[in-house]
Amino acid sequence: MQPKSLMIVDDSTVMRKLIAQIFMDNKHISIKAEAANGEEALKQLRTVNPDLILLDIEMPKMDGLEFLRRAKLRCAAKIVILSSVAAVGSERASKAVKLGADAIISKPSGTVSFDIGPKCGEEITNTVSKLLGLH
Amino acid sequence: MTDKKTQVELMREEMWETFFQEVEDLLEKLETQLLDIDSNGSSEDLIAGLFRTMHTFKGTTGMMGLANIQDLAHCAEDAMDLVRNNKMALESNTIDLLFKTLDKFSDASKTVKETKQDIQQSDVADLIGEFKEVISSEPHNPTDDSSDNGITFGIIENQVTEIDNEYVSAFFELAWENIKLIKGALSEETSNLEDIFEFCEELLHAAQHIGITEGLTALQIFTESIKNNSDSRELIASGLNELSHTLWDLEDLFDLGKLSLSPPTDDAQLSEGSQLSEGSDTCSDPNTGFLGLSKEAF
Repeated sequence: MQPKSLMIVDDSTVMRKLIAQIFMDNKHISIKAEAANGEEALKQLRTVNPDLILLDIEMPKMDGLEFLRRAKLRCAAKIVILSSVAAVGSERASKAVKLGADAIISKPSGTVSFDIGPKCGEEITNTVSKLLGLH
Repeated sequence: MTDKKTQVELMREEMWETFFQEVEDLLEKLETQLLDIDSNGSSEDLIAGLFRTMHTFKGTTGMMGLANIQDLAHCAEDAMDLVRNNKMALESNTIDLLFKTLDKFSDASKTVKETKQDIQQSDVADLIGEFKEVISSEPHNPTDDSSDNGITFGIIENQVTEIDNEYVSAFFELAWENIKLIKGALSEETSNLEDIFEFCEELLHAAQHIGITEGLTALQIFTESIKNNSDSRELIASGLNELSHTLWDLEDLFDLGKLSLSPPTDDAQLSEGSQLSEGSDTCSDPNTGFLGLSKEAF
C-alpha cells in the first residue's frame, strides 16, 4: 500500500522537525512537504496533493485560518490544526471548527527534551492515523 | 537497546541544534521588529509581526521544556495581544520592558546552550511581575486564545458550518486563477487536456465546498466532457468565455451583498437550487448552467 502523504505547515523549525521525527519510522505515512507559512504551503499544494495537512494557526504572511479556507476549496485533504490555541473556548479554534477543520489538537509541550521517541506525539499519531483510516 | 538509546540521543541532539538555530533567528527578528516599532511607531502590521514572533518563541521554548523562559514569553505575548487588539496603548515603559525581556532571553539562551536546562524561576520573576502590573492596569485582560482549560476539540465530525465573506472571496480568487490557467492551457496547441481537467475539477470541488449548487450539474458535465475529450477546443473556449462573464456577474452580486451561500449538506451537494437573494434573478434561470453558463455552450 502506498503510504499516505502529509504536509506540515508551521513557522517553527523545531515543530516541523519534531513532527518529522514522530513519523520517521511510520511506514504508512510519509512527509511530502513542509512550509513555514500558509503562502508557502499554498504554492506547493497542487503538486504535493497531500492526504493530510498538519497546520499551525499563528503564522506570518498567511495564517492558518486563511490557509484552511483556501486549502479546503482546493483539495480534499484532511486538515488537523496543531496549535497552542487548540483548547475549547479559544475563539480562533472555534472559528477553525466552523471553517471545516477535521481535528484540533494541542502542540506537544515540554516533551521534546525529555520524552522524545515513540511516545512523544502520541495524540498526533493517533489523530492522523484515525483520520487517514489507518486504525 | 543500546542502538535505540543512541538513536534517541541523536534525535535529541538534533532537536537542540535546531532549537538553538531557531532561537537565534527569532531573537534577531524580535530585536529588529522592536527597534522598528521604537523608531517608526506602532503600526498594525509591526505589532502583529512582533506578537507572532513572540508567540513562536513561546511555543518553541515550551516544546523544549523551558517552562520559565516560556512563562516570560507568555507574559510578553499577552501584553502584545492587548496592544494588537487595541485594548492597550504601547507606551514607552512597555517598550522598555520588552527590550529588557529580549536581553533576558539572550542571556537565557546562552545558559541553556551550556546546560541544556531551563533557567531559574527567580531569573524571570521580576520581569513577569512587571508585565503583570502593566497588563492588570488595563481594563481588559487577554481573552481569546489564552484559554487553557485542557479540553481540546480532537477529531471533529461535523463539516464546515460557516461560509464567511473571506471564504467566498477566496473562492472567486481561485475561480479566476483557474479560468486563467485553463485559458492559458487552451491557447497552447500542445497543451494537455488532463491539466485542464484538473483545474476544472478543482473549481468544481471549490464550488461544492462553499455550497454553490446553481448549475452545478452543468459544470460537472463540462468537466466530464474535458475528461473524455468529447468537445472541440473551440467549444470549450467559447464555454469558458461565457463562464468568465457569468462569474463576473456573480461576483458583482456578492459585492452587493445579494449572494448568500450556506454550507453544503451531503444531500444538497448534487441538487440544484438558487443561492441568490430576493430580487436577483440573473442566475436563477433553470435553462442556464453553472453560474448562468448555457448548457448549449458545451
